[in-house]
Amino acid sequence: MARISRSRLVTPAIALALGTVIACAVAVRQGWGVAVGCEAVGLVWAGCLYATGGSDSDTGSVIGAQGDERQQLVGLRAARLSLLIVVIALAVSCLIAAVAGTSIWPFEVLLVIIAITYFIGLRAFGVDASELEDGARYSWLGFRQKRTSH
Amino acid sequence: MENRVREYRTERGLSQAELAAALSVSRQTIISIESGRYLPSLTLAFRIARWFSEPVETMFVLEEESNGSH
Repeated sequence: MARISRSRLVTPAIALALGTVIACAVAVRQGWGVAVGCEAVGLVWAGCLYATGGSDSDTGSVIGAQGDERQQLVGLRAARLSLLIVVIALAVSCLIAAVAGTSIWPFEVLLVIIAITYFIGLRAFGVDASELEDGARYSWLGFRQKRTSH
Repeated sequence: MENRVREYRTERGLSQAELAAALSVSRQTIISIESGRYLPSLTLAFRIARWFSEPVETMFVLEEESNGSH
């Protein structure tokens, strides 16, 4: 009997959980009929992800969360491309909403969250200025500060 | 950066899949390394060199060094 890899279940499980949350939110306002449809879409999507996760390919390894160093890099590049497209789509949506005179705050909130997490990521994964050994002092944002003479 | 992974692998009669399994990486990664599309990390470069019992600088050669030697 073939063993089921636990890591292969992670992405489909996340997709299924997100689909269920959305389906619950839909059920509150639009009734169970639409919610069941949403859940069914989530189930099919999770099934597709599980099937893809088992394939002998870069896509399969990335989705199945069992890739080697190159495949992790491929996954990061794909995520970066995806994020770039999301930011462009959000900016365009924000622009359209502003022109149409509808509420733009949901787009602004998402753009701010993306920007903040991007800078947090830069700080978290970059080299801390205090680790540098040239004796210079750096501000929180990484700018070199003037030395004060004593 | 040039590498001699394909040369050493074929010399030993190994398939890409067999080498990939021995190094615990994917077959696609071996293909990418051999074709020069992917430069492995220092860790993987050392693991490849150790597996073939060769110094890492024999397996992976800087282009300017390989041009200079010819």
